[in-house]
Amino acid sequence: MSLALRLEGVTKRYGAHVVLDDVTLDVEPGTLHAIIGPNGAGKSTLFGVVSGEHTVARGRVLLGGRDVTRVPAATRVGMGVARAFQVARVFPDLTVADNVLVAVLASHRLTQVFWRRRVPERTEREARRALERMQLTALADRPARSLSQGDRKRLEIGMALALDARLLLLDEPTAGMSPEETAATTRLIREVWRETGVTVLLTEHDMQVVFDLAQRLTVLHRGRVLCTDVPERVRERPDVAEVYLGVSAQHA
Amino acid sequence: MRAGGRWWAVALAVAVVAWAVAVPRLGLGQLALWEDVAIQVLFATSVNLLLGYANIPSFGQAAFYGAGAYTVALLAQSAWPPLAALAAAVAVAAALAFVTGLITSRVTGLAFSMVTLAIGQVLYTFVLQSNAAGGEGGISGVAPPARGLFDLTQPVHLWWFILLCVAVAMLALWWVVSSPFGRALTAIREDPKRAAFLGIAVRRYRVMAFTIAGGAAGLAGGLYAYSTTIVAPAVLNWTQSASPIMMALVGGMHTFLGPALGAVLITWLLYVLGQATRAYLLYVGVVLLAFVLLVPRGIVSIPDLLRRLAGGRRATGAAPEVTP
Ligand SMILES: Nc1ncnc2c1ncn2[C@@H]1O[C@H](COP(=O)(O)OP(=O)(O)OP(=O)(O)O)[C@@H](O)[C@H]1O
Ligand SMILES: [Mg+2]
Repeated sequence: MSLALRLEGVTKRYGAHVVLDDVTLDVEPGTLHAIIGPNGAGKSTLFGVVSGEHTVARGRVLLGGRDVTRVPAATRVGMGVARAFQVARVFPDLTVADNVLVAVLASHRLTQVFWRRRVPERTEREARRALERMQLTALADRPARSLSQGDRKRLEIGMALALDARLLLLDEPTAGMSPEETAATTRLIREVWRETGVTVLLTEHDMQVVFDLAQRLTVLHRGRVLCTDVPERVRERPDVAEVYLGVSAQHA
Repeated sequence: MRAGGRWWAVALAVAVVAWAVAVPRLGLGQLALWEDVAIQVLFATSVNLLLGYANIPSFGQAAFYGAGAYTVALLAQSAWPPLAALAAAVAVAAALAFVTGLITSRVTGLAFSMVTLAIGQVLYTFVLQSNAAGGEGGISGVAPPARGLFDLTQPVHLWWFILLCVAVAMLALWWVVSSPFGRALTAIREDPKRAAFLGIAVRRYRVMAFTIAGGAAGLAGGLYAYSTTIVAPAVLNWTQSASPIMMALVGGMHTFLGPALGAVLITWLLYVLGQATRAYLLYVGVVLLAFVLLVPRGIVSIPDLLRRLAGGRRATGAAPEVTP
């Protein structure tokens, strides 16, 4: 249930602005891999490239060894790529339960069924379980628009999980969450990863979360890969500290 | 469905049947009016499948309505039985909608509306020039052959036949919107990008919705041909596309029955005011404006609105209601 990801010399530009500069990256199947880097480093753009949201100027994207550089997003989902966005995207006027149900229906390829009214019992059950897992059962009948930022993030992660992903892309999964919610979500990600063996690629500014979860770390800076290594060694690198300290000095 | 929703449905069905029995006693004028009402109910509901459920702002639905009407008018000349002619009307309109949907599936927003409008006008111009379709004068004397299970040349029989067809089509559309496909459509309406990242091939769903709505509009058009016995190019004109949109707006998009209620109100209003004054369009316009300004969520939201007004007056000073 895991998918390998490989980026080969990927370059992404907006006009003259190079956002991803010759990025080469290997994510081993079944690992929990984190991408860190200061604001504007290109982390979300990289997720967009992997999931099929963005086209690239140069380079290749490979999923499980297959070149998907020109494969549309919905097809990549079919290959097992599930994504949660940095700013959670849910269906605002649908209830929380319906949001999850649509995801489950999609994962079973049942969303084209217009000739049957009832949703199969198995699908309903699965959606209920997904709600429970995300601790959203109490909010099931609320429209998603009424949720807090943290709850919305959780809902979206739940929808991504409902897709039975083989590669899970989580863009700052705990952004906007309280410390308790953050801890619970971190636990949940590790649990799901253990149970399913899914490949997880995540970005996060909360270093606690990163060092709690990640087996491997890639540091991205101004669109370039600075290094990819195990967390302990990344932490000791002087250039990484400099990138972060330099940036925080600018911000101060 | 909400608690009590079932009772509302039963009450509504009883009222419709009672009215259906009463109408033929009110004379041929009323019969023609209420046939038109029933047909516009179907047309508006089909348009709302696009507008309200899928957020596809098509301004060209008259093309499919008109295609259905012309199909029936032409086939009636070769004495096709009504069910076969109507089935052909649905097929022709759905096929046309499928092709239109494919062509327009890469365009979104205002550009999409303009393209659908243009395609409708192309068909309008084509029929205007076509001899087979009767050119400017259209085709008159459309009538089902005077044989078969029940004789549809009898006005009362035709009335029941039209009502039955509309009822079946409405049930079918209700089925579609409450199916998994219907849920996917609303999801696409809310956020097409999010839907795509759940693996939903958004464009294909839009084409499917377009085809289904087109087929239903074709049925409405076919019934219109039988009801009025005359089909002129005006059925294809863009004004014909605008009216179901207004009905959906007045009745309430995002609900299934809203557009039907809007269709009843507007068709009836057009008739009554048309009898009373030559400036009837002006008054209908005023009603429309009033609705858009005062009840933007349509007729279906009126009970809620009244409840809130009444509640608001009683609860002045109390903490505001916290409905999410
Ligand atoms: N659509 C766009 N057009 C032009 N520039 C863009 C666009 N999207 C992103 N950028 C730029 O690309 C760079 C990388 O953005 P990206 O969102 O990938 O950064 P990030 O690492 O995710 O940052 P953050 O930590 O703030 O989320 C930024 O400088 C941003 O301004
Ligand atoms: Mg980002």
